Amino acid sequence: MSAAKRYEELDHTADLRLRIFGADERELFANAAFALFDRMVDLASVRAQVAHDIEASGADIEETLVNFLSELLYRRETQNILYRDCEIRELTLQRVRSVCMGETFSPSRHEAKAEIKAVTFHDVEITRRGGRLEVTLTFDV
Amino acid sequence: MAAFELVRIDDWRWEVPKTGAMRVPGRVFADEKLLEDIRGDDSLKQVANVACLPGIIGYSFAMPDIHLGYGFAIGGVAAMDVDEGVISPGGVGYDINCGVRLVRTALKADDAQRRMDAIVKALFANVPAGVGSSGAIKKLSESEEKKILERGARWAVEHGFGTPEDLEFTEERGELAGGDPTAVSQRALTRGRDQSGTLGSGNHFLEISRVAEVSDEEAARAFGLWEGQMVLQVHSGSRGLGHQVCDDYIRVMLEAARRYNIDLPDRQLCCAPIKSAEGRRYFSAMAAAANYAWNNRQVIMSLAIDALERALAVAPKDLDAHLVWDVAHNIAKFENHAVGGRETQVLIHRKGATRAFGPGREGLPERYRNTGQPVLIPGDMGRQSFVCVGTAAAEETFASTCHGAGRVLSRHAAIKRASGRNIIRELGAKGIVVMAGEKGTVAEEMPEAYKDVNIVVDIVHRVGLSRRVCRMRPFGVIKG
Repeated sequence: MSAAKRYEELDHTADLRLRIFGADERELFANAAFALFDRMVDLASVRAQVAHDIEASGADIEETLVNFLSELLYRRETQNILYRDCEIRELTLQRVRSVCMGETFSPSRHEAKAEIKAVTFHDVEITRRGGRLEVTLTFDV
Repeated sequence: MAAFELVRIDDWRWEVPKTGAMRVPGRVFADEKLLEDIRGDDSLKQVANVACLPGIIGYSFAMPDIHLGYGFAIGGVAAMDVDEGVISPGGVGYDINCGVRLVRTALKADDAQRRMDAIVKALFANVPAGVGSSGAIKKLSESEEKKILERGARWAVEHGFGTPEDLEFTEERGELAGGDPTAVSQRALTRGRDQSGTLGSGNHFLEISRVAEVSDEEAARAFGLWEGQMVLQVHSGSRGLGHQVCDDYIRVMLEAARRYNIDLPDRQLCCAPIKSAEGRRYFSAMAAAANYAWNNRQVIMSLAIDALERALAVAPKDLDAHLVWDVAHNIAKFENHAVGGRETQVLIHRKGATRAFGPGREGLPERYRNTGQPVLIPGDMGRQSFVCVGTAAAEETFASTCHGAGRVLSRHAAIKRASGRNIIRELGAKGIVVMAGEKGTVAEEMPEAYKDVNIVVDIVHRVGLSRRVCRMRPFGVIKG
């Protein structure tokens, strides 16, 4: 993991908008997963107790990214899992395969911050700026 | 921010001229002051983007509470030609059939105020609230859940939550025709399984309020509302099920838009022709999710009324709770409207907008036939909400009006502003008792985070899209 900033929050009145950074596509995907859970819970309290294979696909890399994050959210809601770290094992424009580590949410140990209900496709475009990749994601909260 | 050229039509109407790929102009309802706020974000660009969608009729409308969304702006209305037009999940939103219901009682607010702590505690105990809230009623089997998707609020009534009279006072009788559980994914069913009767998080709420001021006696009488009365408002939607339906069909529509060669100014506007296989299937799934939401609000209302009776130790006949009305403010529907002087069926998207049928419209219960439908416009938890009435003049916007106050502060900014303060205590000092499912929600939802809803209601009242009937002040609030 690079020491550079992984994401930042942008101002958005109604929803949540985050700008994600990465040295390459793999790091961008990993940082987007980190940002998602970092907004929902205090990640310092989340241990790596389970490792799950998580895959997603899409028509292009942006769709693949949104679908990947949506898959993580689905697991959060239906299996109550928090992921603190996702390792991207394989990434093409149309497919991602990763191993994500985390544990089951426990109200006594984890402090919930905010709920994220969906990842939108609004103006999603991965661009290169100053040698780094970035993408702006809008979440329904 | 894009400097949008706007043409002034009169004091409250502004036009976004048709340029580029726009098929129709945009029309914004606002005064100069509100327009300044609206220009502060990119929502006018979103109004222009919606105007590019195939089959849009008349205008891409922006209600005075418009603010930046994704794809469609929140507060957007678009009617589509049924033959040439498209249907878009982005024009409905993630929380399909998010809406509001208002319940009247026979009690004076003054009598209830003394027991507000007990009331709020009882409501909080009976109606699960907050992130991932669940377990309000026994966990449903898949076949029961599917019945909810077909029957909507009727399922709740059949299972002892409320009375058949409630259905008469719910938009579409709480059951949008065409809801088809087979169009809903297993994922969506899983997410919805144990969330019926739960409030959820974010801006959803239960509120006990006082009718503080009546400005239209005749309509108030028809709605059963009087000054000093205690009323209950419920704001919730289709929970995880609706979100998953939207998510699933955005993927379907991204592909469909490519197949039908629809040029999209924003991916979130992805759509398909209304009559295509994809369009029909989305409508069936969306209607199913809308039915889930109506059932949800019906169950919540019933649980809340039980809590009120217990906390106040009153018999049901003394509380005498009745549903005034239930509105959907995130939905797509087939409705008949005058287009070019001819009664025509259109598909109307209302995303953060409320139907406002005027007097004599088909589909209204006998009781409201002469007045028009109640229009419920909630504000923030510290100030006020409004009941308005639909008008004939609302046909200008395909019978649509505003839906709420609209935020002025981002959630992030609100939390910063609340830092070091105790918002619950501040509201308590104003006589408003608040309980919340999540610690952070109260700060995010604090009154200053919203515009004063009075400003928004004032515009629709002046333009004539709906008329003020009464103002309500909160005194007990449950937040997600």
